[in-house]
Amino acid sequence: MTTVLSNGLRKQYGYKPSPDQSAAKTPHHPVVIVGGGLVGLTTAIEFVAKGVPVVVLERTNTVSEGSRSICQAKRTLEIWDRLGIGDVMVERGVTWKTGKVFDDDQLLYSFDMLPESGHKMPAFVNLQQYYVEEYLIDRLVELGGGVRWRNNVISIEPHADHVKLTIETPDGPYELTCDWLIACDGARSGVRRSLDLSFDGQAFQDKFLITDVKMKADFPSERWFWFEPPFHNGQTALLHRQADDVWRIDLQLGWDADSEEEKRPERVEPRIRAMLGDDVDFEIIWISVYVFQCRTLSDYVHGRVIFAGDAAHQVSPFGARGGNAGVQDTDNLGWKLKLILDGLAPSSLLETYTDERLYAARENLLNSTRATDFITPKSKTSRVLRDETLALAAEYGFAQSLVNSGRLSVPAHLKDSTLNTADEDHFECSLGPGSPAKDAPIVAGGTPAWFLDEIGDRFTAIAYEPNGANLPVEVNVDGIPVDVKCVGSQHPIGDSDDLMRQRYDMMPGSVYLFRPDQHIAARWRGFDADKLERSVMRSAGRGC
Amino acid sequence: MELEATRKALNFGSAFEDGDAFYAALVDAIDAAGDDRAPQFLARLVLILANQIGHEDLLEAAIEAATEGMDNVSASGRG
Repeated sequence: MTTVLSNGLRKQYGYKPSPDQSAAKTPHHPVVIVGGGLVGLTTAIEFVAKGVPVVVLERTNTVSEGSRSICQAKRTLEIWDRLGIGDVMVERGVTWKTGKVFDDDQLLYSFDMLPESGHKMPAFVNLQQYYVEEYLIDRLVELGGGVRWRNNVISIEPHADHVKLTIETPDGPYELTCDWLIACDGARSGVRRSLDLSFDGQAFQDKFLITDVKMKADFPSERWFWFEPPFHNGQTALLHRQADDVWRIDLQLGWDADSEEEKRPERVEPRIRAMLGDDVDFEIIWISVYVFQCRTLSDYVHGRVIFAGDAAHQVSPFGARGGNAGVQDTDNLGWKLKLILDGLAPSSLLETYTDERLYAARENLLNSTRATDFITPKSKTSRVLRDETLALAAEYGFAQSLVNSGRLSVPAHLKDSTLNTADEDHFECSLGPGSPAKDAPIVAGGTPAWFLDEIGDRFTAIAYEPNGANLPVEVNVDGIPVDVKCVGSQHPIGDSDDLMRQRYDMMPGSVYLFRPDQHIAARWRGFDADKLERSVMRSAGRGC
Repeated sequence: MELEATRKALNFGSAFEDGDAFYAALVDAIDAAGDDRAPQFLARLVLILANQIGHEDLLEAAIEAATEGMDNVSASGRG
């Protein structure tokens, strides 16, 4: 459903035959990833960085054709930072944190996505998906991995302890087997279809024109959303700035719009001209028409086949909860599958991948469904309700709080996860077992640093001003290594801005245990090696 | 003057803990009623809510606040 007018910004890659294609015996790999997009590539880096070789099979020979998933949220940036590519995304992207909502030509209100300082990563960075994917590929190659371009999976044969795949290439088909197959092949996932899994949810009775426009303009780096703008009668519009003077403009078209007709550049040009005015030079470089959908699988793990990203769950884009959820899937899956591959956790640990990510997906689906329902009311009366909410919002705070142009992506607090150890001590803060870690400025080895750099990739216990006791620097819990790090004036990590204490309600002696994906597993008011060990076992799916 | 004083007692700041959940529940009920029966549903809802508030002076002030500005852009006149 897209028209690509210029692809000068996106990189193309070449097909190269792999030795697997001429192997005498069917080659076997521990992990195969289907789909070399945003989520597949992040998954690949996650595994290669952990020392697990992966095969990435990508049907096309290029990165994303349009800007698509542009709003990279703070948690996503933190995950990429852990994988060594956070800085490049921030440097190349457009950092923003302010959103403005207009009704007609009137500013209704603005909001700040990151009202507190003291975080390494910004609230949001806008970066076109084709650039994100290019940098992910660079990182993957740097770590010794790669992508098999123009490798199209044409059949999947699931077995109890492996999966067999047939792959079509320009040199003909070949087969391979793997222990685990991770399907990151997008909303129209061929893997999901071949397993005949139902993908339940709804399509919204509305169409949206999504465009990338290259121009020099002096709009600020903010998210601007219009209800019924003067330039686009009776509909909504969204404007985002991206890297290299490319702007993303989304225009609501209504259900009756003719998608083919609306994609014609001659048709799109006047719509953009009406928005930008006569004196702005612009070039339309990508046009697409979407019908938004909100759907999810009810289980993300089917034997040896695991689903992540849009292949597992699809949301409407209001709130930037698609790509960001996919990257967070990867974050959740990586350490669990690694423990399983190393024989340190039972494969039942993957059930918690479904539990935790389905919990997050339902939160994302709920939020994006509500936003879409606000933007596209389903009846005349709910439309009146919407319009009067907007009218009252110009004057009244309560009505502003009901205006919903998308509640922007924040990570889920996995408070009900079975991997958490329930609090036995009292803590006064917004974080609890299952919450993603909050960053804070620290001093490490005498130089300014960030707290999140101290945790992640391994289980880590953070002991705050431990009272006198000599704590070990590493604990081995039945094969699972746990780093123990001490914070305090006499210790290598200093709480330089007092923000760790405030954000985690730390007191002398407090201990937090973080999972390798930087979520809180447990916390206590004092260090107890037995309790720590039990919590690690629990988080590895080996608790009782 | 008296009404003006009462008007000031109306809370126009957000009192919702989860406004999105309330809005979604309201829209679901409206859409389930359908456009023909939605006015009936809304009338019943207003009466039930008014009884929760219970103070006639506040309700009068709310009626006035809701009536004000209705002539500006009528709902049916939009889009």
